[in-house]
Amino acid sequence: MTSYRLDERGLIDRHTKLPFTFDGKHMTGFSGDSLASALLANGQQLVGRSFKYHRPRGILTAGAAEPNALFTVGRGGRTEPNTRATMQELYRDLEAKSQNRWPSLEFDIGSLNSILSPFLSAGFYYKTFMWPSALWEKLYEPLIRRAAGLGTASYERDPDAYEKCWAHCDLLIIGAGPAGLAAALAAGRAKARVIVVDEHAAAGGTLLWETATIGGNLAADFVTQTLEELRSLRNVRVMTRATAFGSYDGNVFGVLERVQKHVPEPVSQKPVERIWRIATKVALLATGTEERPLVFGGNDVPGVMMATAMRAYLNRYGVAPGRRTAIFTTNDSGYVLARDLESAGVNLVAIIDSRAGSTFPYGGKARVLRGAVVTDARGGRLLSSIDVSFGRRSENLKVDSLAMTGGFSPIIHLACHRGGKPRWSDERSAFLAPETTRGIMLAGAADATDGLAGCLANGAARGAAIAQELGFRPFPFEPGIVEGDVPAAPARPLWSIPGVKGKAFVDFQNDVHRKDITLAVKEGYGHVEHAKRYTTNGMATDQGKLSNINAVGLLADARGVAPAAVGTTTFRPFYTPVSFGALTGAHTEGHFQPIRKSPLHEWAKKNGAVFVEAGLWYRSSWFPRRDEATWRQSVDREVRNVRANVGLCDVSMLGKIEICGKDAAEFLNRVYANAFLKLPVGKARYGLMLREDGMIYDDGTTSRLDDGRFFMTTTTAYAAGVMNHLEFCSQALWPELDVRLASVTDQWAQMAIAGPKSRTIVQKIVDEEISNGSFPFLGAKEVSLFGGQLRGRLFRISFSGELAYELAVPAGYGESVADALMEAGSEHGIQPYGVEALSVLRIEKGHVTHNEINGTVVPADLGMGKMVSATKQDFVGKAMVSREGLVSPDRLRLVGVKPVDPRASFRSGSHILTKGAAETLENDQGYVTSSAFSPHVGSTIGLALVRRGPERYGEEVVVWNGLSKEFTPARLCDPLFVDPENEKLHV
Amino acid sequence: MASLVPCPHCGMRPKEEFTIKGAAIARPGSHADANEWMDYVYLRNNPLGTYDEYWHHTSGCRRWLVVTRDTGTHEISASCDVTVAVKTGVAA
Amino acid sequence: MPGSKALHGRGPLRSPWLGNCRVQVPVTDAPRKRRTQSLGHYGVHHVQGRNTTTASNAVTVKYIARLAGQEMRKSLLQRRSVFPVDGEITVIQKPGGGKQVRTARYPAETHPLAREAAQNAVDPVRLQPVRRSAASTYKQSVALASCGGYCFTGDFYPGGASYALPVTRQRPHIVQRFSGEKVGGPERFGCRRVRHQRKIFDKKKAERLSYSGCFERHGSNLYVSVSLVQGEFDIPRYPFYTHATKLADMRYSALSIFLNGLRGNQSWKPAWREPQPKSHYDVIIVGGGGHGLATAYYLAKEFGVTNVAVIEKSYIGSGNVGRNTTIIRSNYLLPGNNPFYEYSMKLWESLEQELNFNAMVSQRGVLNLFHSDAQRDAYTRRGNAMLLHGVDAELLDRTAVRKMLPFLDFDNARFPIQGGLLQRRGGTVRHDAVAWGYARGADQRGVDIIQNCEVIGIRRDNGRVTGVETTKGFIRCAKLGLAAAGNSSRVASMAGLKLPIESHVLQAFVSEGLKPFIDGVITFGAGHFYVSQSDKGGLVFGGDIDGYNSYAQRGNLATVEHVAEAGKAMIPGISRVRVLRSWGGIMDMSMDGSPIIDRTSLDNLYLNAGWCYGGFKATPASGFCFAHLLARGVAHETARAFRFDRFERGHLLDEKGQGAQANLH
Repeated sequence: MTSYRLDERGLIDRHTKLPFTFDGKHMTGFSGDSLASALLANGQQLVGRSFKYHRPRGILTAGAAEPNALFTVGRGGRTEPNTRATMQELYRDLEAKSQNRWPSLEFDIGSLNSILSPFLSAGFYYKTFMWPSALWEKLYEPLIRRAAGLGTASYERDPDAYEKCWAHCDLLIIGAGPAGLAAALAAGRAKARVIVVDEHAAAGGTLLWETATIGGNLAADFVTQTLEELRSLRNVRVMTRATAFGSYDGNVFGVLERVQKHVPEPVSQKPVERIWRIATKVALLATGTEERPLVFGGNDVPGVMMATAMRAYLNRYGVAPGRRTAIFTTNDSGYVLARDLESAGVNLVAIIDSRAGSTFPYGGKARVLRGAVVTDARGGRLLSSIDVSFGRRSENLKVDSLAMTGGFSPIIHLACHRGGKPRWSDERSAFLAPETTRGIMLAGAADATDGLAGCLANGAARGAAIAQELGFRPFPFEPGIVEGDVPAAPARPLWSIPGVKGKAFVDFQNDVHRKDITLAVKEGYGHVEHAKRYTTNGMATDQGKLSNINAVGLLADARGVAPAAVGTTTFRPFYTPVSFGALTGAHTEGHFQPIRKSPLHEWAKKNGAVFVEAGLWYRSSWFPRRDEATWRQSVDREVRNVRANVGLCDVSMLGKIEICGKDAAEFLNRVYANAFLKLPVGKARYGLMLREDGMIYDDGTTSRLDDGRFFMTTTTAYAAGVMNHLEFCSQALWPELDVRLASVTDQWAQMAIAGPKSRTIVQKIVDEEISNGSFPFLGAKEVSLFGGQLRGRLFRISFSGELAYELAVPAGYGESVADALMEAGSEHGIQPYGVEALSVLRIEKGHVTHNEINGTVVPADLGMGKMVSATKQDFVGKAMVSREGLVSPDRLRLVGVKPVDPRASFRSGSHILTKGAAETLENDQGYVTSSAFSPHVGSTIGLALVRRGPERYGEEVVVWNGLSKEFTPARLCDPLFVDPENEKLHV
Repeated sequence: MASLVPCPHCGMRPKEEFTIKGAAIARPGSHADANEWMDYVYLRNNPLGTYDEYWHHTSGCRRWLVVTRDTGTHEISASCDVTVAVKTGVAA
Repeated sequence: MPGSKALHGRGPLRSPWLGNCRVQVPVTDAPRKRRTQSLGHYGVHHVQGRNTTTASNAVTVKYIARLAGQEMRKSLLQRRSVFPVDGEITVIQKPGGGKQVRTARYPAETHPLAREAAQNAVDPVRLQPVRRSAASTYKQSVALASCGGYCFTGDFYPGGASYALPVTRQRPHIVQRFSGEKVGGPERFGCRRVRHQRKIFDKKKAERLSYSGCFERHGSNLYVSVSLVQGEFDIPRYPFYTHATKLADMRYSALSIFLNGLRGNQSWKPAWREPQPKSHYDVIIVGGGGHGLATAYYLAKEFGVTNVAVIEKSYIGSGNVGRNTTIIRSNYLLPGNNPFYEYSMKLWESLEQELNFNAMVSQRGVLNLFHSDAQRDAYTRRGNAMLLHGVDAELLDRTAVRKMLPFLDFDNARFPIQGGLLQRRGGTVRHDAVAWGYARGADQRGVDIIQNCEVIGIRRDNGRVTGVETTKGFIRCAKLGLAAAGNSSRVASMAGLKLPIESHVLQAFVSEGLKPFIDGVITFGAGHFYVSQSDKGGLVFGGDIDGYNSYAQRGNLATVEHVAEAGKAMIPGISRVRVLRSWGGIMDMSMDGSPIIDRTSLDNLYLNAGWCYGGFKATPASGFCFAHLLARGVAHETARAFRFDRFERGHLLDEKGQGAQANLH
């Protein structure tokens, strides 16, 4: 283990030591370290095992693209698999565990795969494991699944909080490196609202390890000064630890802010992560470049590292990569690293420059081999030597660390998320941002600008230009003169290195090597997307940040075309992975969806209700008494009590819509299938609302309170939908009608008082006379309550089939009115009843709900064919309801169903088969839509939709429930089980 | 711009406030024949490119809008109240 | 006529393993017209064919010639028509010792087919029998046409005879490798007379037999499947062997991987060819996705229609077959849907062996959670419908779900889990592999898969489609099948059709790779979320469509959040799992949520569309049924409800009961 911490250098705080563990080993780093730099400082270079061959892997990068150093961090509900050590800041007592190895990182059984690698070529699994077929689920797949995957996720609940917010700005700058900072200053000084986001812990980007000076200052000092100024500007906000992960329509960017991922114990008042949706007029991508690896044999041996990463570890974290280092470069940037390494006292053995004609004036001590390539790196868990080939000669150099740089690709992900195709530049040998990127601009290295000075100037110019474009007065900003920088002009790419013997990796994490790419081409998977999917190149957690460009180059070589003809795979969100927790924000557990409570919720609660979720509502399902052991006992009692005495049920959650205007009646006439034009004032009517395709949409009662004022109730589930629908009808279909709509669901507490004794009780609180004569069935009127203390609305409608009223009072009075009714009814045996009893009562009466109105029934199916007006000129659904298939006599139609043996029962969802018929789908006659035990009938009863149902009353059928193996002989019957003549309604 | 939708009454609002119904096409009159109804209820042009759609600002002003949007780019080029659209023939 | 069904491949001959199949076809006394002729000889190409047609049976005999890479089927003899020979017919060859054979000669320079062939010349591979069955019987001029697509025609003689390719040791026949790669072989493709070793056939009966079919490769063996037969006879296995290992690696197996691995994986061959379009096809399928490729495969394999092109505007599998969440299931409710999806499931269950391609069909179960009584009732109804059709279904209560998936949120949920409907045979399939497997299978049977070729117009004449305008030129076809998924409306509009379809974007997601976390597929009932774990370790999940018409294959952040919220509500432990990637596919959302596989108002234009987001699981059955419709002109029994006119007539297939608003399905 040869990497080590230098005595000085770097932006770390050497006074603050941070202990941490890696695979249980105790180590120490400094404040300001990343987990990766701390590991390197501790000489821990073997950090992971690869996906397929379980090869030993070391830290390759210093940024978001890291494919190897992925750890499981944290424990319990805070366990986080696949955490990039390069992006994870070190904190006190951090626990990191390596992944995908067994029994240990040092000795991993899985590495046997490496020996079998000739038989594990790209896509090998498509060609085998097929025989015998039964073994796939039993043997092959479990083995594959166990071998695949990286870290292990926890099933425990996450103790931490997350949140989401919106932000708006004129200019969103992504990346706070030289170009981003310069642009921020230029636009910020011009008073534009600027947000700068940077994925790293500290702003500054490459400036944090840059050894060039700006205006005579150290680059790091330039960062400090710039940030100070930006923070002093009220119109600028700089967010670090904030990754812009996606670019969405409307120039909305998703940004993930890691608020407390760098602290040992998150405080509960703050989220650990926060998602920002930033809506901006212009976004400026100052995202820099990604350095390309070189594809030589053993390019994955620990000790081989990206050159920029080596420079970052050296200069920012004060970590030397080893005792004997070499640099393999295709461009001038290698020499800057050489300079920095030597100035830090690292023994640099050689610079291997692939360019024969390179004339870089290098003044250091190391050997410079021009026109040379590294063909193979050797070593197992640590690099031991490299084979260098130049001209016809080759040489083995003993080194323990190797930097590689194959050039730089602008990071253009976010510019492509909305469908833009990157374009290949021959001149720069790289893919550049699409030609047109509406609302997005690029700056600095991402915009194919070379050199620090260039990036600063380019950023400043872009910032100023955007500000001006947006109408701000630009403010001149001149960054100082840059000295000591070596702009790395683009070099010829080196896709394929001749003479390679070992495995040369393209995608490190997914173990895709060069031969896999050529094999894909050979087998016909040469399209870049086919190659990706066949070899899995670019599908690892880094999404091809390092690998894609080399794969494109190799594909181009193998296919004999230019990289432009190969193209890229699609850049898609997320730039780096985003946790479910962050995407969820606060919408978790009980807060997953909002909770709606009836104005009578408290009343129900104090009466002992058991609640059930019904959509967003909590509804009282039954009111158990102490002596009742099962819910059925409670429900049976409630049902009997309604039929014998009186019950009170909360029906406040029914949708309620106030419809006003002089054309309100005509409007209703068009939205309902039955007639409403002539509904008298003071009357309620049951209405059927169809969809335009003729199916029933919803039902409910609508009352005429005044000439131009109606009060509609809808079912609970469709309250919102009906309101939207009515608004559509009034605004889009018939704007000429004078109608206004208001949803008043939440304004009224509504209760059903049902049972033979209901009138007596209701009369106790209602001031007006409500005898059958003065307020008959389907009466509806505004009433005065409690001697004029309150006004409410009274409807004589009945879902239970009993004499019943529905009383609506202003929501705030609901509880006290319900209390008053309970008190008034106590001598008459009033009891509250819930939706379960309500359901039994309505099934006994053959009343339908959305169990029956399931979107595939027309009125005739429910025996309501006659309600559909034949005389109305137009109403929603009129044209389509008479289509051949909807008037066919063969349709499923509503019937009642009763077991032949009253002790037998059946369930909703059971199917109906003709007695004696074979149990096949062809013989299916229909299904039970609703069922309940009816205390009145003394058995289970049900409603069912049955082929030609009403013609088959009396027929014996089988209620078929194969799921629970219940096959119940039953008889079809009229769905009116109680009071078939509806006499009780009119008493 | 399906992340943000311009409402003529409320300004630019997030898409989640809206409900989308689909193609903004005129409802046939009461004397229309079966083909016209078939066309209205079931058949859609479904083009790649500009498309007039009904959007309802459900969590806002509760007005139905006709939004002209490109189905290829999601760019919204116009948005007006449905009554205005009906008057000006946009949704016809 | 009772047995006429067997004429085209279905029936007992369906198995690629041609054991001793018995085919019975009624032999009629109707007058027959015989004609023997050679079909061509030019350049390196020579084909002979023999044709027997009967007036009553309307036997279709295909003459297929392969001019070095280019399959040239010179159309079919329908009814009493004769083989259309464009070129000059002369006797140019008199096979040694045998009867004179009339052959047709096409001047290589002038004949369009020859020119085309010359342009597309690819080298053939050698086939050589190394062992012959003792029972082998050959007849003179067993016509071998086309070896390239492994399609042939010829005469067949009864009596337990086996037939080998008429190959002699001296002048082996040439079989065109599907790979198009040069692997050697003689320059001349000569049809040689082959001596029969034992004359055991009955000449009279023989006259009643004719066949066409295609070769199946299994290992190094070639089998002949016969799809067009008259008479009654046994077909033993065909002892065709090749001496070259080249053929062996067409077949995938552990052994092939081992042998190739030893050789440095240098000898793998392309999984499909990259042909240029011919000028005419019997059937053109628009859309090289799962459905289009499956259709082509079954057309060739099951219905003997091999002059087929699949035209794809991008790369094959670039649409929804490569973008879905890989789930297969057959838990459908309605009688119009359920048998179809179950048929699909059955095809999935034997798919890999049939295709010789491991698509990782993995039946680890699909569990739909429910959270309310109403949902329970709906799932009860659905589960029972499944059981009635013999589909496996189980209704689990909360305890059973908890036992199976203890990590779901049972304790703090806003909508507590009440139970779930489980289909154990449901599961997942590696989606890309489905496209590839079908492509490879179709290609092996002679189908041309034409990538990067966009249809830009549909040419019509007199109520019929005559062909398609493409970016690679005009291609004629006898029948046109559209399987363009999200782009169905656009393609159909080229033929002047307006569909009951809207295109909507649906997003899907994958997390970073994890060690086994979830075994089967779980769907959440209280929000839009479903998830499974791929064999690679990523959690693959999705939710609802974004809700607006779109042709852009990308979605909205709000929908992403919505899906994640539902995900965490179902599995609290998923909170710290990171989502790696999101993508979008374009769904052809139909107005009742069910597909259309039907003819259209144009005579020879057929439509396969409206899959909503359920297209992937339907791939095999969709392909099979569409092929059935294309080949036979009538709907397959399981796809009868998928009619185009059901909207007009009111016979809707609305599983969700949402009606004519596409984004609600």
